[in-house]
This record gives sequence, structure tokens and C-alpha cells, in this order.
Amino acid sequence: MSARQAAGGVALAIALTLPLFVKSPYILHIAIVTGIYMVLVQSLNIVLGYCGLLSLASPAFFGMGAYVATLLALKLGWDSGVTLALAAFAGIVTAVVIGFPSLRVSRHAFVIVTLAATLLLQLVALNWEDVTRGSLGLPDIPAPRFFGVAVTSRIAWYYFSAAAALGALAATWLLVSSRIGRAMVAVRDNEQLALACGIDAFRTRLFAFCFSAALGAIAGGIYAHFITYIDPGVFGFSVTETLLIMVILGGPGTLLGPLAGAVIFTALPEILRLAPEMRSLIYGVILLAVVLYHPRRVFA
Amino acid sequence: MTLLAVRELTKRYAGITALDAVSLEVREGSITGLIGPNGSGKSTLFDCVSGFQQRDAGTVSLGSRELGGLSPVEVTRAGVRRTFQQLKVFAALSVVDNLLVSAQAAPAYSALAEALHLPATRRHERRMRERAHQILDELRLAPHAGALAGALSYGQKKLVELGMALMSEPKILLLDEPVAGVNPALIAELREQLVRMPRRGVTLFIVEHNLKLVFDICDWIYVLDRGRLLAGGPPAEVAKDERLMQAYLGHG
Repeated sequence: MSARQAAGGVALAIALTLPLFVKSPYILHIAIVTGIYMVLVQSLNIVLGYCGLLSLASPAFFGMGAYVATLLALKLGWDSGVTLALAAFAGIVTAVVIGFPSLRVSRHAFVIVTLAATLLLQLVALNWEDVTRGSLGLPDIPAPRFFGVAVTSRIAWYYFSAAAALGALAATWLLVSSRIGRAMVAVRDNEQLALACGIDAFRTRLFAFCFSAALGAIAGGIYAHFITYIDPGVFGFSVTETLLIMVILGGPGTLLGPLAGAVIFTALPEILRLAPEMRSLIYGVILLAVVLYHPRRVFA
Repeated sequence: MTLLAVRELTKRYAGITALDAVSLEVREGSITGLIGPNGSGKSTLFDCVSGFQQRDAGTVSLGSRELGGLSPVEVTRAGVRRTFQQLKVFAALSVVDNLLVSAQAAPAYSALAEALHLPATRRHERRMRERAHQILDELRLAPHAGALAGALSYGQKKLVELGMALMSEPKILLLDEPVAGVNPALIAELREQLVRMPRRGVTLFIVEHNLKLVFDICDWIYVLDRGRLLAGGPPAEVAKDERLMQAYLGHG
């Protein structure tokens, strides 16, 4: 067993037994949020790390998933298995709408379209008041329910969030270890050569983008149920900012690196208890430092 | 029998005629060479055949199939594989993954089935892996199978490029300067691999500046100069052609 495997085993053991020796609701709360971020970082990692595409649409999928899961739960009271699946589907549709026109054009067009689409969705959430109640937001989101069993206690939430993080890791591993995963890296590495190998670069990227969107939307749905209230702020740019720093510092295009990034950058601000303005500033400085001194980590 | 037929192929770039009504044929099972001075349009011809550039006029066909207007991916899937003048491998992938990526084209696959690692997918993957290792054995690259392609020497990368091309089982392989920048020992090695290709069912169409190699291994040679086809014939005949010398030594 290598040192890395040993470290992974210890991390997993700690993760699985955490609620047994940590009773503080505050720390468990942060751990649950970390689990949700672990789903989100894999979503961005697939696109940024394995495809080498800068996507600013993380909040679009996150917010879409949050609103779809919330509205279905509030208005129809459906089982959360169904509502989260439909949230994922809504994420995929959003990804197709964004990716189909922009992924054909250029990587730059893609960046701009992902940003524009996110801003547009936030505007819709703000102004479609009949459905979203605009800036008032949607309160009293019920606990998620699977086959009649509700996730209510903090410990249940902890394991639910951990299961989501593990599920996202497994899904990402299945994707990147498959032929599609190899094709994604090939297209990132050298698009011309990939074309000469018969790899359809556009379809490969679009599939990866949809896969990533489904993960992001599921994370959004889980987040909404956990916080029990959402407003158009879920489409905010801060999600992108936080995720970029987690993935880029963790190690884009690796399976476990971004997870470490997620742990560090949800725990760090809490430990430092910084004002949000300071946090953005420090994140910015760290990101700049990495880009300046380790630029290969950004687009390896 | 003619495998690849190029008829009246013309390509212009903003006033410059890179290819001027070029017609040529590559016979199935042959090693056909395309020579000419720098800027004579050799790579442009490869670009037009492989779909990386759209032609302005003329036709390109593989057997009975018209290739004009197809995208690079479609041309590759039709059985025409190309390499690039500037050596390209996937640096971030291992050598064996470079080969596996090249087997991507066939058969058409369902992305979801792949991501789910269904049994049929895994069987196919195993078969491809076996074939990749077999090709690496033949190219004497087996010890480097797990190494990142980017970490290999230039000459080894050339062999990887050849292995990738073999992996995709093309009907015809367009090689753009297969021995450029390679040391004499490796040229001998590459030569040995190239002359075996027709026996593996792969027809070769080669652009190369190393004339010694071209005249040595080719069954048929075409000479291109300033976008026009000057001559074409068996090596012995082309070697005697004065226009060849003229093209290379300049136009006085």
C-alpha cells in the first residue's frame, strides 16, 4: 500500500466516523457544506481540468438545480430521488443550450457564453416572480425525502452529503477512466491530432459539459434542501470564484486534488473567521500567485 | 487498383495558388512518394485530402467514395489517416493511451455506455488494449508503454506516431515527413517499419525531403513544384527526369 493510498484510507475513515467524535453542530454544518462543494468541484474539474475549458457557468447549473428541486418539492411534494433527477436533467438541458452554439466556435466564445447565460438565468430568477417570487426567494424548503424517509437530523444530513460527495467522485472516475475520458484529455492536449484520430472534439466536449452540468445541478438541489431557503443569489458569481480556486489550487485534471481544495477552502475561511470582503481579496491574491508561479497547474 | 484519386485539385490562399489543378493516383498496396521543394504545396495537398482544408475545386476520392466536403473526423473514419509535419503526440497521455485514443473511431460508440463501463464496452477495451500492446511490441516500444508520451525522446515519439496510425487501421496513411529530424540509426528502424506497411494492408502516401529514402522505398513518385504536378512515375524514371533537378535547384 502506497503512502497516498494510506492517506486516502485515513481520510475516508475520518470522513465516515466524524459524527461519532464531533458533536458540534457548527462543525458538522461546515462538513455538510464541504460535501456539497465536493460534488461541485468535480463538476468544474471535468470541464476545466479534463477538457481544458474555462466555464463560468457553475452557478447556472447550481442555481438551476436549486430552483428546479425546490419548486418540485414545494409545489408537487415529489420524492427527492425524482426531483434531484429532474434537477440534473434541467442542468443538462441548460448545458446543451449553452454548449451547442458556443463549443463549435472557440474556447473564448465558450467562456463569454457561459458567463452571459449565468447572468441571464439570474435575471430570469429575479423577474419571473409568479414562479420564483423574485428577490423574496423561496423559503421553507422541506427536508429531502427518499421513499418516505426524510433526511432531517444533522447526522443524517452529514451522511447524505458524504454519500453525494462519494457518488460524484465515483461518477467522475467512471467518466474519466473511460474512452470518453481519454478523448477529453486528447482534445485538451492537441485538438488537431484528436481530429486526425477520428475524435469528434465538439461532441466530446458537449458530453463532458452536460455530465458536469448534471453534477452541478444535483449539488444545487441538495444545497437548497439543506439551507431551506433560496433566492436569485444562488446564481451569483461567488460560486464560480470559490470553485475555481478550489479546483485550480487542488490540481485540475486529477480526481482527488480538487477534493482537497474543497476541504481547505470551506474550512479555511471559517477557521480564519474573515469578513467576506477580505476573503475575496485573499482568494484573489492566492489565485494570482498560482497563475504567476505555477501556471502549468491552470491549464496543464 | 487505384485507392486514392485526386482530380484537378485546386487550392488558393488570398491570391496565391497553392495547388493548381493537381491530379494524381495512389494504387492500393503501394508506397507512393510526393516530393518537391519547400512551399510546393505538398502539405496543402495532404490538408485538402484529409479535410483540414477545404479545396476550391477538384475532387478527392477513396475507392468509390467521394471525400470532398467531409470533416477531418469523417475523413479519418472513412479510412484516411494522416500525420503532421510538426510531430504531434498527446503529451499528457501514456504511450499506450495514445494508441487507444487512436482506436476511437471504430466502432461508433454510445458515450453513456462508455461512461458506465458496460460489459461489452469492457470487452472491447480489453481487445483494443491487447492490440495496442502488440503494436508497441512490434515497434519495440513495449518498455515505454506506461510512460507519458511527452517524456519520450523525439525519435521515440516518431515511433509512437506511427503506432497511433497503425492502431486506427487506416486504408491509407498519409505521412508528412516521417523521418525529418531523426538520426540515421532510427531512420533505418523507421524504414523497416514503413516497408512492412503494405503487407499489413496499409497503403502509404509519403511526403518526405529525404530523397534517398523516398527513391529507396517508393513504388511510384510524384514531383510537385509551385502548386503544379511536374512529373510522376516509377523511381528509376523520375530520377532521370531533368525537371526534378530543376525544381530542386531553382528556376533559372
